[in-house]
Amino acid sequence: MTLLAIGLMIIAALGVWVFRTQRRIALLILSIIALYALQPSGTPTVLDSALPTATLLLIVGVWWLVGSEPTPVDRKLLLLFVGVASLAALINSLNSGQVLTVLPPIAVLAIGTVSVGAIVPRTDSAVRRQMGLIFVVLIILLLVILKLPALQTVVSGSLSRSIGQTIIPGWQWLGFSYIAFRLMHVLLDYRNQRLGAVNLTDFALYTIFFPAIPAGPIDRIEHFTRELDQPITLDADRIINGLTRIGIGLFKKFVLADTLAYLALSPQLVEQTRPGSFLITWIMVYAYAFRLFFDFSGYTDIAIGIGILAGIKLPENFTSPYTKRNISAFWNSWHITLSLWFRNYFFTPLSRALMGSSLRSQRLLIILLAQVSTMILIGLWHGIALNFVLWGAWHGLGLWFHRWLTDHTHAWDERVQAQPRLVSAIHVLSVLATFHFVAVGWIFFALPDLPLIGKALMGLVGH
Amino acid sequence: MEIQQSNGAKLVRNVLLKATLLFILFNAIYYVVQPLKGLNRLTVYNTLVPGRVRLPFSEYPADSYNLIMPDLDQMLASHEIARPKADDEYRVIMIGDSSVWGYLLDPTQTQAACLNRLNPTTSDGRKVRVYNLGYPTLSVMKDLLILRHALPYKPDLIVWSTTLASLYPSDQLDFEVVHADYDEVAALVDQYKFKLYQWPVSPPTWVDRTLIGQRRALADWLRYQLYGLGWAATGIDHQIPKFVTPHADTLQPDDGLLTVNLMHLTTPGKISAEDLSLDIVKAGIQTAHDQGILTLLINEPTYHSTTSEIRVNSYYPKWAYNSYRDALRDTATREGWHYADLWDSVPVDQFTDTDFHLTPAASCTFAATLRDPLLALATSSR
Repeated sequence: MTLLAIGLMIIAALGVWVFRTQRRIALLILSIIALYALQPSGTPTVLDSALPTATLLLIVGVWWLVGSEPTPVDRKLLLLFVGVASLAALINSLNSGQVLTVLPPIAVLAIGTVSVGAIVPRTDSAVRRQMGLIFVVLIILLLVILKLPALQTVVSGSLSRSIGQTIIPGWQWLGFSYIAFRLMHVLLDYRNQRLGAVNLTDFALYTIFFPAIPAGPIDRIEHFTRELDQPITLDADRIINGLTRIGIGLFKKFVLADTLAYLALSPQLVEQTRPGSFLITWIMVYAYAFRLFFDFSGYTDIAIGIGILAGIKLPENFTSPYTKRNISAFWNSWHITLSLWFRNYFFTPLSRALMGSSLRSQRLLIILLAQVSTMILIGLWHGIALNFVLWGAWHGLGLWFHRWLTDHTHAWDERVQAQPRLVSAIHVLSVLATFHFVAVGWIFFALPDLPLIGKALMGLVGH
Repeated sequence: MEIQQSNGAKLVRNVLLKATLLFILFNAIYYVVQPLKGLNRLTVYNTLVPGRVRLPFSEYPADSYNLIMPDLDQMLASHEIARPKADDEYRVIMIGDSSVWGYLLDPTQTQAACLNRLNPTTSDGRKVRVYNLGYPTLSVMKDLLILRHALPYKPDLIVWSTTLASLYPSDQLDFEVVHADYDEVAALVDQYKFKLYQWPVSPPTWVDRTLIGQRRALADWLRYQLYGLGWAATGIDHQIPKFVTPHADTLQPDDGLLTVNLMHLTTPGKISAEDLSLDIVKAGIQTAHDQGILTLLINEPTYHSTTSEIRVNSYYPKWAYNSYRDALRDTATREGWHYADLWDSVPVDQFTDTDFHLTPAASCTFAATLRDPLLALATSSR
């Protein structure tokens, strides 16, 4: 996000209060505008409008499946969606001249998604729940296309041939990683019969609330709708809180993170670094660790601050993660909403399933399997590549080891607790050890291939 | 939901008022204190990270861990020349344009680096250490500024490479490094009455002395310090393409002089000493001489076509270049300068993208040819 985009969002969040009786609709319209306006674009292509339109269609499709009975407001909103999508396609056609070629696939997608809900009777919840699973698979497939370069190349080639316009691989779908997880959360809760009634306005707003489009957080729909229902006012405290949070975020992102970027690990820097740069390699690792934290948490602060100005408190995503004394605590304070998502929808169900299997007696193995697979999936969420698998495995093994250590050091821990000085010393050492474990793990995250990872790891020991 | 408009409006008004006042106050303090001057004497180079072996210049900062940092105090402070001079060191500085700086060469391939690898030693046993203070700009005014700022670092000898295109009085000033030192340039012009067709240039405005006006320079200072880590880690300060195409031998069949601005020739069809900025060269050599430092002036190697009847290269027609060489030689003789005309000392197939940039091999070969004249001067200056 640029400073200009952030500035416009702040103005928009404050401007919403002018439409006090229609606040939800005003927020939704702003969010739809942001969805299209923020879509990254290099060379103008049909994707610039097609991808945000596809997001809207997915929202409509999922809501049709899981939402409450359409109200007259919902039906008007559907018309708004169609109008916005048509306008975006029209504007895009001025740049690309390809609007007509992209309309048929969008129309197919639209008809397909809407008809899923229309065909299946609302009373037939079992079938609808099955359909929800199909939606989940579809969303995962879209994520895979987005995050697997080889597959994106194939899709880009097919698209190029079918519409007669060159689509260069590497295109991005703004915020889809977050949007997809919000949609899947709703679909999975619906499938588990944990989803309450939700209208289209609230559902769409939850999915694409404009401050949270580019970098999350991934809220839960029940929390979000509760926030929407809060009787709140725009007072001095709200403005001060919101602007302070935004200011902190801007400082983190544009001063600290962007400055540290000059020192941080990068494929180019590691490749060109001369052997034996022990101290420099460590500086690069530390710089990357803090750069990533300030960058991501800065964006989150900005999103939360704009949310406060708009009257919605988004969930926290970071709570001083580098001050935690073990890896488990770290993951309870780093990208919290994503961790919780995976805990709720993957780790816990998988653990339960394994506990009910023949592995039941091997508790440590079950924990190992569940934690490593969960963390590998979290890694793959960032991109489908070997380095993210390694990063996930590193953390999965770390979590497992911490669990094993905790289980085996109960007696020792009780003795230590009786000595306050030792407790403090161990606390400091634990924080340092946890931070260094995470920091070294960022090498897998930051560097795309094994030779570079190997070079950086060797650099840490002076080779 | 209600908007508490009166409170909100009052808060916004107060915030804006305070922000405006603080903004004005901070800029006023900044204007008076001028902290950038002091900041430019501070650097991480030579302390936290190794000094730069050539002056900061880059067209691709992210790829070369380097950037254009036009403040001469910072340029010199970050250079390895700012390290203490050893007792047995005979300190030589090389100034000049991009051929001395080493465009399309890595830092170990420049003329200064090649000379250092030859381990020259003066007749009294001092180790000759050559420092690359070239800068990719064709302007002897820029060279004079660098020379003056290098004097506190106690050079024993200055090797000053130049070429005709660096001596146009019409093209001396329009460079960042010259603009950044406006006050010093103004003082020099006042003292020496240089003939400079672009003078007077606009002085910095009061806004240029505020935080707003200097925000870019401040950011560049910080970025330059941060690039120190990349420099220390990689030893890279210049992005060199994987393939450097050899110099082409296709010259336009015209006899025009390639220059940004028009030359004013006193005699049509001939370049005389009066047409050149030799007054700036003279001021530089005199300034060094006043401190007991000798200067070796060199007419640097340039591409010279073997096929064209009209032109030497894309910059110079033959009539202009030959008369320039005569003028420079005559002036050097008249003024008693130590001068070497080495314009054709590098074979034509050893130039790269321009008429002045040498291949790595040619850079070292040329450096070897400098060794003896350099040591001869070192002996004579004892």
